[in-house]
Amino acid sequence: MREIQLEVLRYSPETDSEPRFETFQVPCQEDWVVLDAINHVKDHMDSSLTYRWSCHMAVCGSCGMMVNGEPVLSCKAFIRDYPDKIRVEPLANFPIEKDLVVVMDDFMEKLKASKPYIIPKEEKSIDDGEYLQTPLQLEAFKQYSMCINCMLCYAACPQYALAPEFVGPAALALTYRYNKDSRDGGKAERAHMFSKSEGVWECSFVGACSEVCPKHVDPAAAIQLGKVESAVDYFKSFLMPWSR
Amino acid sequence: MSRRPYVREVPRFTWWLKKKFYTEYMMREATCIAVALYSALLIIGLIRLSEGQAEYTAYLEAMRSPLGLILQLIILAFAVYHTITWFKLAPKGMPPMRFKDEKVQPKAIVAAHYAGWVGVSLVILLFVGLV
Repeated sequence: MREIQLEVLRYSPETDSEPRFETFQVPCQEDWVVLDAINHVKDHMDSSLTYRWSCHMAVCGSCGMMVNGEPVLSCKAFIRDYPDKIRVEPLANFPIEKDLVVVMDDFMEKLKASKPYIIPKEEKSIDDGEYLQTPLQLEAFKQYSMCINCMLCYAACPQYALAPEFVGPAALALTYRYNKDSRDGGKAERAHMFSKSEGVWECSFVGACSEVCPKHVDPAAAIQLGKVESAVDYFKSFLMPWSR
Repeated sequence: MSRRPYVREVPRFTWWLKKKFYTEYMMREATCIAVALYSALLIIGLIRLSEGQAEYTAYLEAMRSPLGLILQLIILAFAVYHTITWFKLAPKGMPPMRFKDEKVQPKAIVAAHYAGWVGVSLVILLFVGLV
């Protein structure tokens, strides 16, 4: 058992004009993660504490928050790796809805507009069988398909902080993932989000997104490769106008 | 219940001082100034060369003076930082490659860049007769 000081950023839209920190003394088990400590506060100290979580196993992507200034999944952040004082804040770069809950509308809209799903090259009937893919074709995009939409990359990205119109790391990485899928034919439909100036070109390659990604998606790599492809497509449209 | 989302302000000019990772990124970007400065020094050298032997000798002497050497050492330090940080990022800008049925690992891509750096440096040192 180890007692930690858990500083939590609180904000109630009904009573507070701005967020404030509240400190809780939390007795923690050796194997606890930060989310366990927050659950302990909710269960035993202050039931009004508001936050998102679901799976407790780094799969659902709901419990992302800033722990000592870094965006992490709180279910994957072990207390034993932190000092006795742990500061928890809502994900950076997003408006605060209440306490640790952020407004994610901007990300959801960008994600939807990016069309992150397979748009088949040619429609096949069920009788024609599956869309087949070789392991090599799968390898071309597999790592980018691991994204769980946890938005840690947006909280890490200073470019998104300064230019909120930036489509952002996860949405661009997912676009790249579907563009690279051998079964897909929707690249042109996604170009309006991907290749515009607020798309890959807004990225200044800080690389923080890839550092914080809990699923090793490496969005920074997807975006840089996306820049190369976007530039090649641009010149191709002049040299080979018929290829459009 | 009313919605009243709170927006936290981001400091427009000092955000990069908040985290070591951001500061290192800004330093990496700033090193291009040193690289540009050295390019300018080389171009000045070319102009001096075209003006005649006396002018070129004066240019070389200025470069060999303590001030010239200090300036070049500072530029060298920035250029080395520039090179190391960009080599580290090189795998992210390379399309997936395969060698003998295996995916080429990021470490191998970085190592190839260092090998290229050593190779080119050796050729230059051979060319100027220092090796």
